[in-house]
Amino acid sequence: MDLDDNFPAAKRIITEIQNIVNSDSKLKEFDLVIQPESQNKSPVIYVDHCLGLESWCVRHVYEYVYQRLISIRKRLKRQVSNDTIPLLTSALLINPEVLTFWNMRRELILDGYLKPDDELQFSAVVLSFKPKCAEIFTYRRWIFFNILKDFSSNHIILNELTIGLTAAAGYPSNYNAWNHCYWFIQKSLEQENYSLISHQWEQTKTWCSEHVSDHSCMQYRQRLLKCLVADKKCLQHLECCTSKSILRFFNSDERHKLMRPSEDYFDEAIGVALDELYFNEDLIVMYQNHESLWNHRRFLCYLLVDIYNIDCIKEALMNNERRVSTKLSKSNELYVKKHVLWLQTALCIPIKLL
Amino acid sequence: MVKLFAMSVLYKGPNDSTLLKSAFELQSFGYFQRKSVQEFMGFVTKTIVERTATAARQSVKEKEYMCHVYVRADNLAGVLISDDEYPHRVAHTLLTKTLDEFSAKVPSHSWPKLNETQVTFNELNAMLAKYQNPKEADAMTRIQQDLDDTKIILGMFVMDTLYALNANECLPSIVHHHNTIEAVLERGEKLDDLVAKSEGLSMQSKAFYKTAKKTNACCRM
Repeated sequence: MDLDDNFPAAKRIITEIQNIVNSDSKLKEFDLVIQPESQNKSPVIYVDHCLGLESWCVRHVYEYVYQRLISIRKRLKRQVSNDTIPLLTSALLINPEVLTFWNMRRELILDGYLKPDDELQFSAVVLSFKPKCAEIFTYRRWIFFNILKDFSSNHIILNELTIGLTAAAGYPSNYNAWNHCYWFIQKSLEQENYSLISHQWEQTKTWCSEHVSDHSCMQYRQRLLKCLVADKKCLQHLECCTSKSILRFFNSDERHKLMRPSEDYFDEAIGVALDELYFNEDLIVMYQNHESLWNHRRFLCYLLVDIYNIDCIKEALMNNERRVSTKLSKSNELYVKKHVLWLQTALCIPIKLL
Repeated sequence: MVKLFAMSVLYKGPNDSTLLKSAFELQSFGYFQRKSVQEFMGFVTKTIVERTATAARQSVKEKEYMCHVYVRADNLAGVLISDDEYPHRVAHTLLTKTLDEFSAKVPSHSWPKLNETQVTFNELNAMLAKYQNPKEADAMTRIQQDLDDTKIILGMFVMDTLYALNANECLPSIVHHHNTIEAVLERGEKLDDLVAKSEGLSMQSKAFYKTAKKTNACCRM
């Protein structure tokens, strides 16, 4: 195939990028640097473990690497030469959404040309540029699931959760990042490791209060909470004083009814859910009119009624929601109305607003 | 994100405004964007003070950012740039507090003659860090609890007015809410032209503005 070579500098640029990626194991960021015209110097900028590429050359470099990579792929002959790797590196830094290029890297790992640990480092750098890109997360999970096959180390999984959290901070409601975290939590639970779920439960609480309109973070907490209430082993590492919430939520008659000797974790699990309900209330008071907070509240009410389907819960919930709705009816008028209506229709909890 | 990005104190002169002190917290931006973001925030800060009347407050929404401004009757002005999740009421209370502390520290007769390099007011950095968590401001907002009942509406132009947040001041300041920067500019003024004319912005930042505008996002390409 005839490849046009109208940008001769491309080869030098991609080699320079590859050298930086190879030599710096602490590289943390990649970004495009806005520069409409060539400055008669290399467009690759490298400072303080951050790699930048000037915007004027991006189009030319990408065309160069894309054409070459597609022609390599079309020949279907596994042409692994040292040339392919720099082409892939630049292509994926600029546009990480091309699954074919990640697949080519997967083959290079399987053939031993790329090391899985280096690949985790490289894909983390790409993630700093496109924090929502699903292909990157999939690639990382593929490496863990197919190559490393080890989910026993807390250290490795914690690192992965940190990477997920950083990506979540880079793009609002980044479902892909949270889903990535949850995948690792599931893997750790399969290994009967219950410490990470409580760690995440505590850590994302702060995170949520700093990102009050992040739907995906709330949804992640909902998934964690479902695990916590479903299996009492998940609660064993949790450090929180849930008894306060229980005292606040139920009156003494109701508490008495709740005592069930057969289910000793019952109190604790319900305490976690109630803690979250009060935490949610605090956020709604502080940050008015955020749909994500009200959706989360809906989930919590549903969970309480659904799991502990007994009358005294409904009664206590009704009293609590009446108090909250009355308190917030001025500042969050629309959401309170919706919430009350939903409680009536979905949970059969009637609330009359004053 | 509940976040404060920049806080500045300015003096509003008859024709233009002078920056007296500013503090930034831009770690959430990419390394290569920080410089342009900072320049641009500085530019917006100065422009908005010049377009705000004396003894008035404004809150301007620009995409996911909020710019809160308060110009006191004595022409000392404060500007706070935050994420739109940061509670607006807390932002204005914080501006009041900042300007009170500034005027206690730097005598008012010197304001018209000072520039940024001559002012020592390092408390500004500390305040920006501390009030990243709006709960820290709880103590000072409690006095003004009754303002919670005042509804704030965001609209294209002046939609709502509310009385002074500043309990010390008898003059009722007015908070105007706008939802683009263009809405506070004078008739016929275009943000594009102001950016092009500005001397405070580097060539790179002007290109950054153009690109960000094209992709309809301020900080991501």
